[in-house]
Amino acid sequence: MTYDAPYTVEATPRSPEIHLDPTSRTLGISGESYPEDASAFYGPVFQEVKGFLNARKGELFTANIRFVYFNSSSAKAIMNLFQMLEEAAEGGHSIVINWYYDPDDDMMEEMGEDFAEDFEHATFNLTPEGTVA
Amino acid sequence: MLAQDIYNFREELSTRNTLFAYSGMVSENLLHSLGSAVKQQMELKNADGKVARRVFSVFVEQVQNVIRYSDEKHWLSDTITDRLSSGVVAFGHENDRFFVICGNPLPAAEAAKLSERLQLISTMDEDTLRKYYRTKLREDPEEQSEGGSIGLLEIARRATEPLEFDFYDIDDGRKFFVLKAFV
Repeated sequence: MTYDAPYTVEATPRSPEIHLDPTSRTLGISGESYPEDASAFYGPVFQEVKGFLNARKGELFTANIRFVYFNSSSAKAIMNLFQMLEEAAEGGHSIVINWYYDPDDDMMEEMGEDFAEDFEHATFNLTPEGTVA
Repeated sequence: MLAQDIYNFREELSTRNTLFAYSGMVSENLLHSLGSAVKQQMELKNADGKVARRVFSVFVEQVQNVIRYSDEKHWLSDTITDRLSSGVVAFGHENDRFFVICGNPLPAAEAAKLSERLQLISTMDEDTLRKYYRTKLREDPEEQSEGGSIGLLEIARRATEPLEFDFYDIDDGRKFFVLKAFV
């Protein structure tokens, strides 16, 4: 696979929109996340991003994350995704993760702070944003 | 008789400050529908956004625990989303607080483990819960858990009062487990 086509998963009422744009080297995740089966939902996304980074080493890769809500099973899956991005950064990739949250939403702010602790090689930005999703 | 009987049943739920209650097979589809009902009821009561987010989070984790850990399960197909798990789900409002009650049968051995886990959680303050959640997030899921071992921690973190939990002996050494959380 050359990973030169965009990868998109449409949002549903209980799962977020996912968009991987190979041109801008950007991953976007936004919405609510309590899918019926979190590992089944995030597994393919994980593989796609991992495959893309392996195939297209080089310039900056940016992940823009905008969650309104996620359940604990999704939190596990998101953690796995972030750990993979951190490993990629350790392996020489330049990676920035932007965690956007509604300034009124202390839950999403705290979760962002907790995820942020794991990053040494990738850059993790906590960014309050007027309206989320 | 029929109408009086059902009216009395309705009054009984109302006395217990219940906004809705469900007993029967719980599925992921039902969680989605009941979750929408929870959101609507909170909107109707003009719940603060922060409270609403907490209540919804507690509700999802509670119901998913029933779906995963009830030991009365039926499968419509072998996919995880086609599983029906027997349990009870109730949502209510009393003294300006919302509550979520969930109950399900489970084997005595599981009940003992769960009880230990809940007792440990009940000793933790907010900051300890947050740290413990953070640690659990980085661990491999515990045996027989679909990454849901942190579900109870999430419930405890979002609840504004200590969790109430209880076990009742039913048949064949099984227990009926109930968890009540206030937000």
